[in-house]
Amino acid sequence: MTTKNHNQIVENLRKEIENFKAEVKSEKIGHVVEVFDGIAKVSGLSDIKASEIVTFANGVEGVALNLEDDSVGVIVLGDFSKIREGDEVKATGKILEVPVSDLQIGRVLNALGMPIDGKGAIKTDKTNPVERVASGVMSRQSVDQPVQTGIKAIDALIPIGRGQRELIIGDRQTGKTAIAIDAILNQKGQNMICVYVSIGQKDSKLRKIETRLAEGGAMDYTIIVSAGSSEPAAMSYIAPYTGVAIAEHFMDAGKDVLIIYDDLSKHAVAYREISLLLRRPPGREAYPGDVFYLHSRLLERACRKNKDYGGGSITALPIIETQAGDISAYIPTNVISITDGQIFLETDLFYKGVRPAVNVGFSVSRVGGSAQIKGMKKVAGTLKLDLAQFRELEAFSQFGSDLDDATKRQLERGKRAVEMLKQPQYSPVVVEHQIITLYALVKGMIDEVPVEKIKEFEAGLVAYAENNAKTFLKDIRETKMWTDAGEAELKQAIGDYKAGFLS
Amino acid sequence: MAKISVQNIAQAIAGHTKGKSGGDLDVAVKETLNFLNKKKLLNRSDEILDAVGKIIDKEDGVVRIKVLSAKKIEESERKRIEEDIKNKFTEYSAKEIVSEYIEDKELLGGMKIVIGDEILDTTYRNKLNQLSAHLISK
Repeated sequence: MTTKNHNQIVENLRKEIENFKAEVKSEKIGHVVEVFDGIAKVSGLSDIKASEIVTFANGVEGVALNLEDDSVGVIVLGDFSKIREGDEVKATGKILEVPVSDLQIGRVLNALGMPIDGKGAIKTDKTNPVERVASGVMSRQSVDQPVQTGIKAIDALIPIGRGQRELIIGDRQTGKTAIAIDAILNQKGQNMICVYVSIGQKDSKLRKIETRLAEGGAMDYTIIVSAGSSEPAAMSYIAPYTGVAIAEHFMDAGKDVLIIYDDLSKHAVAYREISLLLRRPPGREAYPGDVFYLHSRLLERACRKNKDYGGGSITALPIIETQAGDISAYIPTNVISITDGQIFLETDLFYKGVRPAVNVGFSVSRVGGSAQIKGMKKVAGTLKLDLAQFRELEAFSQFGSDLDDATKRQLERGKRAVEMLKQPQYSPVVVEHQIITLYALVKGMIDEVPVEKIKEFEAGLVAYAENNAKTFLKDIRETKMWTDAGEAELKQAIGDYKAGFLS
Repeated sequence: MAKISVQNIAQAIAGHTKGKSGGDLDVAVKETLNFLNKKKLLNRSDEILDAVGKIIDKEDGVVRIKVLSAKKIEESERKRIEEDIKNKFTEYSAKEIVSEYIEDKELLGGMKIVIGDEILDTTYRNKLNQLSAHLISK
């Protein structure tokens, strides 16, 4: 470094010091009575507000959660081992907030919004409160724009709209995170910012996800917020609120955001730990009484704003891990009732080779139907019913082989539907290609194709249609409309391709 | 049932002993000690006594302050500080100020006044801390 640079630094420092004015104001203080497991009991601090930030003598921050008669329960956001009994604690008068900025895109942040990826500080003056009341009724609009996940089973049968809350629920190792990651990967060029909140996950898993997203070019529009399993429970508790506070920054700017909470079961467990340490009375499964509000206030912040309020949206995909498929446990039922539908993944299906292992019968989307594009609505309308009937007949047909032709046909169609909805990981399919293959299926045009050749047929058909159904594809891509002319062209293309394939 | 806090016990003790003197007070203190012993609260007597002191101070309008400074504060200056506190911190409605003066070279200069859980810090040490935080944030 040259002398000139040195002088410049000294000069800058001199200016900063000259312009600096120390603030003298009366502050509220308290003293640490006890510290244990990331919780501090503090005496004094009268007039403190709930969720106000306090600073300990060693600079570590904390959040006041329990305001009691003669003490305040504080969760420590950092290393609590250096806090000693009797230490001074200062109230800051500020409610917990996190920095928000467009520069956070492509970065990995901790639960307090600070970068942890070693790519340098993010300079921003704007902050958003971690806890904010969800948008009011008058600023909202109903869901009518689709989120294309690129997963056929979801886009066709359990469609998700922008501003919707759709739960992904299932046992361990059923592909919950895979669905979320696929959904992020498919948002490329769809004018969507993604926020992936990792709660209590292994750092190795997070690293794998980050690498996968970067390889797929998804980090150009994705922010990762992480509270690892080695961090205190307080971080896991705050992380989803931090994620949504960052998402709100983009929504307020009129953008569409997709946020994934992976997963809320661990979030509930972290909150249970904090609540028990704060000596709040335990309720069912030892969760505190307000565990429903914990998730309802978080998920309510996902919404679609109307034009007068910028027209942005937050679509939330919370994940819940069940134990042995028990969706009637406490936290799963809570979150099912809060969200606008659920994607239920099953271990049995997963091991049968049906991947994504979506159980179509138990999965619903309460509002997404109105967000589906016309073409998809047209082809997917009867598919769910067909599949449901297939499952029923499949069980029934195991008792005897003497079946009438109509039943046999339905069974064959069902087998092809199941085969067609199978999709490997990290290979999202664009919506127009989904429509082509599903059209061929529901119109019975592939009933003659052997089940084991469906995948091969599908791939060939898509490539063939790209060249021979151009009007149809143009209509869907540009106007999202379904025209008779386009349909006729598609029908012709499928028929021609099939003839060639079977001969 | 809700947990009985130290504050609750202190209030009960202050109420029980209020306005009593001589033999009556002796009986009241004895009863209090018996009660604390029975409830196994004697190990928390310091805390309870502290809380009782605060309640009585509040009733009598006594405000206890702590003044920390790097140098010794003169008697005339002390009077002025106490007067200022009486006038400026009206929410305490102080009738009497009981002050404690502590010298602490670490503060470098200025003074730090502690009133209850409120603190007014005009020391150089605090200003330097603020400056260092400001420079780091820039």
